[in-house]
Amino acid sequence: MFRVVCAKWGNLYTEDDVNSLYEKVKRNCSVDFEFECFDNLDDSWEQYKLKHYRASAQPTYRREEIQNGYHRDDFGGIPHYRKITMFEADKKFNSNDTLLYLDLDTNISGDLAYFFEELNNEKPYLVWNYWYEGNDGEEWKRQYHITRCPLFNSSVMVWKPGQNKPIYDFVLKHIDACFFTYPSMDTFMFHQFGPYSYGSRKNHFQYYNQGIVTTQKVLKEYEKPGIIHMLEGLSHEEKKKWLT
Amino acid sequence: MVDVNTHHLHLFKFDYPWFYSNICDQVSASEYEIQKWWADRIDVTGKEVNILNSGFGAYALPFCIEKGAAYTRLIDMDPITKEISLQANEGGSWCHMMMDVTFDYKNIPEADVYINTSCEHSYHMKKVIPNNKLCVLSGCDLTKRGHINLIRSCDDLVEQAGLSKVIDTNKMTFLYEDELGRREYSQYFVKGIK
Repeated sequence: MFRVVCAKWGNLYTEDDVNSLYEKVKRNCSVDFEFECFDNLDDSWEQYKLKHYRASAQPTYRREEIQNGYHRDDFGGIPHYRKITMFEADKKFNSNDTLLYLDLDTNISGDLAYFFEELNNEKPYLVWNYWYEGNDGEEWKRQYHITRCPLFNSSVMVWKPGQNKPIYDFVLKHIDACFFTYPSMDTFMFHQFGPYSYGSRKNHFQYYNQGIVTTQKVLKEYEKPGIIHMLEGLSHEEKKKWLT
Repeated sequence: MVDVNTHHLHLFKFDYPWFYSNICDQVSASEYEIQKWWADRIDVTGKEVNILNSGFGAYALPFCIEKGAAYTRLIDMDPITKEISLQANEGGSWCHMMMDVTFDYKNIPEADVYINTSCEHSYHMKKVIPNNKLCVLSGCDLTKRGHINLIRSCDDLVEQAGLSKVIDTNKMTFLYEDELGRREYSQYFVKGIK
């Protein structure tokens, strides 16, 4: 079974956003699929987010700011931790299923069948931010040690049920340290399950080829958007305009 | 006498221009003062020393070698720092381990002495440093990118690491300047037993 899944919590996104994503998937997927929105994900980790989130007010727009003596990217608290709980919630599916996770603000430009038919599934997939590798990786290498500029992006993930359970288990085992240290799920996974991780956690993921998932951040006028074209870096309102 | 290798620094300026300000921070006068504080107070002769969140060990490694440490491990998670460390450091008994001390501490070989002078960069050291070990911890209250654990007193360090005995403490004041302007900050020190 091919499954397209998304996740919704809080009040930033609505049922309309879920329905809108479903309609887009229906229009852009040439293979049969089941669609499901995880809207009741386990929130028992919320206490760790509240304990370690070092800002007083949650910022809603992507800009540098300082609160309580900390820079924005040092606020900690993994605000989107619920996405990690999907790696445990997937146990209800058949182990032969293939899951394609899409963020609710995903902008689809091509046939999603690629993610179900063209990948080998030996390891789970996520987006590699190829665009940060310019100038010999200057940006991400300079900022690796200060938990910025990860080469991982979890907006589009493909996995088999259970494949990402080690990530969930790792957070559970080091829960206080994880929520204290990381400002985002992407940085956490890049450091702890990426190419520079330690031991068996190293290279947990594989990545879509360049051009399959693109970003509005760096797309030139003459370049073609990928099957999925991400709108990261835009405000919620700007994304809404793009998606309608 | 600790010698900052100017030849290497010159090369790094051209090979790692985008990392050079970080390298300069690691060889600054304030960093020398911080490392000298523990080097003057701990006898590492014949001992194994683990330098946690070491950077490339600009002053820490030469101090360990100069003072007769049997073996020194520089332990830092950053891949570029490892590249630089392997080029900058020569001679003596030491190694550089690319590990995240917060999460990989169980795989860190045991040592006699543990030094972490960058506590503001990481989660608490309670699980990282084994019980009954001599250690020096230091951290600051400077608002700066990557500082996720601002240290506001010596008691913060004692409590975070769960030290059973405090032998010595200190506070120094330094100046730092970046896009936020020129400002003073406090650096706290504790020597003790975990």
